Amino acid sequence: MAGTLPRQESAGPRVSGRVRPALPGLILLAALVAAWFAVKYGARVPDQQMPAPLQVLREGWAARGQLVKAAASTLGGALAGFLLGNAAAVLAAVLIASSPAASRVLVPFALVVRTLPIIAIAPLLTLLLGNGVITIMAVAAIIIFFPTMINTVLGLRSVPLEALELMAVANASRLEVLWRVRLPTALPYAFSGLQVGAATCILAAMVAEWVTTGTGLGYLILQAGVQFDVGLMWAGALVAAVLAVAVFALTGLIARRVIPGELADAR
Amino acid sequence: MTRRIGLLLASGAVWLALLGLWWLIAALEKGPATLWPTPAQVASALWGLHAAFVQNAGTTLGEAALGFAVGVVLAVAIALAGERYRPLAGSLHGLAIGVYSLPLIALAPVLVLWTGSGLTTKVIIAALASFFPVLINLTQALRTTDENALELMRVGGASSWQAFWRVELPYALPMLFAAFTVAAPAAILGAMLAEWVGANSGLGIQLLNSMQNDDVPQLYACLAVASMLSLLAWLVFTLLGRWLCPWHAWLRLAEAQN
Repeated sequence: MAGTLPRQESAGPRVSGRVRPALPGLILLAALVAAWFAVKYGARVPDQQMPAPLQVLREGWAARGQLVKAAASTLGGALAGFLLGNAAAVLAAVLIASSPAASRVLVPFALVVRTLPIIAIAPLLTLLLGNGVITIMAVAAIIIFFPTMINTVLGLRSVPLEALELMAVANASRLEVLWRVRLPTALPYAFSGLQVGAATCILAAMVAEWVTTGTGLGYLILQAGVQFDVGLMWAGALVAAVLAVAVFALTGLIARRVIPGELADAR
Repeated sequence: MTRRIGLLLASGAVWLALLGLWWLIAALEKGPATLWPTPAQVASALWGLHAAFVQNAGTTLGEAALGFAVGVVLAVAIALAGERYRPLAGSLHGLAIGVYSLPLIALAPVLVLWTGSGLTTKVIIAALASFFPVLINLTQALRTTDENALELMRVGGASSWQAFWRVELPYALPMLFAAFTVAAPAAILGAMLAEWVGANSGLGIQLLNSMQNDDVPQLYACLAVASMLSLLAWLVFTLLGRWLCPWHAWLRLAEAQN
């Protein structure tokens, strides 16, 4: 996570120009930290419920090696799951949009999988896939599959009738229609699914880690909570949030490459 | 018409095959026979406890519905604020991702410390689990509104509120309803998760109890009921979306194909 964010800020002489768009964000961040201080010391919340910001920083820094290692483990599983889940979701969406029979089977199946509490599936997946990064990847893929699939199906079905008629007049094959009309139309929709998945994949990886592998941020947060190490627990949660924001920013980068026009500035 | 019946039969056959596969695995399982109950065992657990299931499903559905409503209001508020004051959008979304990515399992105990183990905790968790897809889809939809239609509104002297109500919102409806079909199952899952930390009734607590009692058929029955609720929610929002957006391309597409 350290790689993606700071690089933008080290842009030399153009720094002021780059900082300006980030200003509202910085103000919001400062306000949040100020509110944290105010609530902590104003209402005298006990450490158990809310540790002081400095305590979180201090304990997080003291455990930095542990945090970085855990974050790397979580990020690896989450990113692999992100790629796999989205690829599978787009494939399923193409099937669903092109065949009503596939839609009758796949949509309810995806829904059933989506509603099974991951805590119930994870032990089963551990039995099948072992106690490693593969299981984390599978859990993340399963959880992010659904939003991307739903959105991509909507996108594939949102093609204007006129465009399809034009393709029919031009005697285009179904594959050509898919490639030249349907997929381009579906891109912004699929991108929405990616954005949801970006935040969710970190969360899913942490749940999987908690249940199965005993590594990564998920396990660290849980372990810290059990041992009443509140500072470390909050530090872990903060790192998780930073990771999620980083993956989210990554989807923005991808979108700017892939989706033309106005969408590009949608972050 | 015959094609439609054939389709129905084909998809029914796939589901029957899956059920048969499950039955086969359950029958072949020679171990302590606790991990794979047969469909019949699950059905009898479901039927034997149907009063409890109805009550628990009602509790969970109520919590999820409240949380979903709160989540949608939250998401719409953030999306509209972000689009009205565009420079704020990035940081608002960053904040939303940060909150959304907090592990709910770790958050639930903290929330219980803050608000007690009553309805509030469940509603907050369900809202947190469901607001994000709505926020993202609505934002995306607002940003991809047909420029020509908006231009027309401006030329016609419409206020920004009128432009939103007459153009942007109708344009956003299909994506909004797609988000609802994602968010509603998430809210149900969130409510169940929150019940794990402490509740008197609900599907989540029933699931936890049956897990601790090693009552596997009841565990599977809980999962089946939870899936049923989610399917129902998905169906309601899908149909509602089609009913509310009769002008959308997907319906004209369906008509053209028939």
